[in-house]
Amino acid sequence: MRLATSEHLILTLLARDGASYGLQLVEASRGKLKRGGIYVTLGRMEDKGLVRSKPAEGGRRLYAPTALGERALLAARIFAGEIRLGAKA
Amino acid sequence: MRRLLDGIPLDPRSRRAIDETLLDWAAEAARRASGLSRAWTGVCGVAAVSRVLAAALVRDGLATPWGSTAVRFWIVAVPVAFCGVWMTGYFAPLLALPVSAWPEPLAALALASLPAVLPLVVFYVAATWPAGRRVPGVGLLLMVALAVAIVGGLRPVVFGHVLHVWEQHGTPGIESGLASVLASMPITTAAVLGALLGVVPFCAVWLAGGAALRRRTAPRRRSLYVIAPVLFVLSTVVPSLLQVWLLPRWVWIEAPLIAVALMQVPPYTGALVLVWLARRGADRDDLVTAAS
Repeated sequence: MRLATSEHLILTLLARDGASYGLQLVEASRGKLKRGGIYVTLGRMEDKGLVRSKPAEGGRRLYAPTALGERALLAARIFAGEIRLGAKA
Repeated sequence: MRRLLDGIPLDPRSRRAIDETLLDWAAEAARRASGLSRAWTGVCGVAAVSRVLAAALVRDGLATPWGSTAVRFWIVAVPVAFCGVWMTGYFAPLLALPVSAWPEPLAALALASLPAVLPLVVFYVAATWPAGRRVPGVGLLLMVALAVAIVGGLRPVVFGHVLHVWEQHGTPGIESGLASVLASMPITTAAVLGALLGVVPFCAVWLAGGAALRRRTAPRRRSLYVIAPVLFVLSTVVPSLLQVWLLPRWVWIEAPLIAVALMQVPPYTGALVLVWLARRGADRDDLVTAAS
């Protein structure tokens, strides 16, 4: 599965920070993710099965990576040479 | 803003993206203490909602089922356009012809009057769209733009043909009456562009009304299907009559402003009243369904 840059970034942030709101992801990305586009990307990733969401306080939704999302991120990092096979992720 | 956005027929995924963006905006505004930072949050919020709305509209447009949209659009457009000949007053030149000679000029005038009745067309297409399927709002508005452009391009040919029919029948004195009708239907590129800019937003409001009417779950209030054309005629024809009859000549400075107000405010008011009626019924029906 090929990950877009924004999808890769979102999965990286979710893997680092755990389940997050869309706004938290925008703030953690330091300007790389935009407020208006984050939920369109998250919706697409949910369709692909990369993330899942559940309702949280105030009607907002909390996003977390799925097992498929974690595997896709791992594969992308191996492909990019960020980690080597056999090493800990 | 939420009420305005709720009126736009979008797929559930896009709707959720907009709702979440609005919730983020509200959450961020609640965190801000000073007026300046709250104002900046407002600016960012508007930009974010605009961006997600643009993305949603593009996504909606790309997902349009063009075949069924075009078929449904033209199935509704043809009869409404024929009614439009009478609703818009273009029938006057027909009365000077024998009934046996009506078909060709009637068809031509129906085509010419189509842009004027497009709001009703999109209203009925949206209101009768099959249950369980998303109304392709962007696709329908693109069909509207296409129809305006096609009709605008065809007008010279159409009116040339209509004039030819009248010349054949040699009806005396009809040329001046027909000329006044033709003069009210400009054919320049700027006029077509102006029609596009004027008609498409107006159609969007009527489309929202039709989509709201379709969302009703309990027995539909069928009277709205009849009220819609009455409201349309009242809100579009009455301002024209007022403009002609009531505008005194001596207020020449204010006249353009009054004319613009008369031509824009009542039609949009009529359309918004229809949206309100349709949505009000929908809310009540939802409550009835939830209670049962």
